[in-house]
Amino acid sequence: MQILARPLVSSGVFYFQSPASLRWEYRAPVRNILLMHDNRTERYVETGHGLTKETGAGLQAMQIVLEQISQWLGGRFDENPMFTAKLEPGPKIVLTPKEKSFSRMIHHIDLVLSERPGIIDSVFIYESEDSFTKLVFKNAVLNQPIDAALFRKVS
Amino acid sequence: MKGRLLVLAALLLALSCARLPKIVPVTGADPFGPAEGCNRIFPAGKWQLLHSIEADLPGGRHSVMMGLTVLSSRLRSNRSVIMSLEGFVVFDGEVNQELKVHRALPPFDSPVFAEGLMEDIRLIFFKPEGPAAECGILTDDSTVCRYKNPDGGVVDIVLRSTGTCESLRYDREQRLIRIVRIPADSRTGDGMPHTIELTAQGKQSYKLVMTLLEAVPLDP
Repeated sequence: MQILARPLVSSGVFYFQSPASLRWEYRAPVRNILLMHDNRTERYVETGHGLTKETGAGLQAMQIVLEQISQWLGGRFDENPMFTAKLEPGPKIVLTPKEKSFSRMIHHIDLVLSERPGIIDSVFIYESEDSFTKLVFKNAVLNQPIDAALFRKVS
Repeated sequence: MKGRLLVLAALLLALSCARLPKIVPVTGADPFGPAEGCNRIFPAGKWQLLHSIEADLPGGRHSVMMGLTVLSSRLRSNRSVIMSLEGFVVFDGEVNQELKVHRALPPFDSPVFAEGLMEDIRLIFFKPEGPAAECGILTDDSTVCRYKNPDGGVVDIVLRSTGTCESLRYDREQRLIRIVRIPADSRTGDGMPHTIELTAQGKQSYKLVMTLLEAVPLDP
């Protein structure tokens, strides 16, 4: 965002197992865990009462986002009915909303691919032309066994 | 258990009916002396503030978001952004003399929400406009400064003897509609409150607990 004197930075860990198990955990500045497994999505947020399970419309919206992300991570960029996918130099894949009403929420998304096959280096989610959220995946590890409990339980 | 519920119900009833308390002037002292202490609870200068916001909303809903506020005390301007914890902006608006909404996604897309949010931001971060109409003490010995709002309402800035600071907003019928509370010992090194609680009373009651994550001083 142009108004920011310095960018807002959050950090954490991200686990994905094909076809659709996902754990997206921010550890700072606010601990927040999104879990997706067996068509079930849950969210836990650190509050004054410890890790609290969240319910409601916000979670439904995140379920859609998580489904999108699991499609990208599975390499299924062109299976999404909401976006048109285009491969550009970088290499990066640019996803543009098909519907104008949706483009009011997300202008476009850039998926920057790593030189290592199977890894996405970073994701830029543009809410407008000059405001974006950047997700950078560091220390990526590929094809290692993951305990299924990571996708079902917060700890 | 039943007794406790009755006490709680009575307390809530008393709070919901809270009216403008009487101020007792401090004899022999500068009647507006407390105003300086009252004004110190508001951030001075230009700041970028990031808070986590725990919201208890109507219908028993509970949500945690992040709130970014860029404000100037001198210009009485602010830009306020509400984001999901992943950083997706769901509301972006600013007040610089007048309200301008840059982005608003459902359920944050009604003009009533934008106006209400900016009124809450004003109550939390800005000293009421103009000089205090009245200063003194309340029956519990708290120091208070009273300001008249252009809408006919009143804002009391109260410094409790416990160290807690409160901004209390009354509507034109003198009903208490907002309580902003900064607990004692909640200040960070740069004087910013670490925790701010806002309770809204009335038709749409809600409670926000704001925890400071980052305070960046900006060039004036």
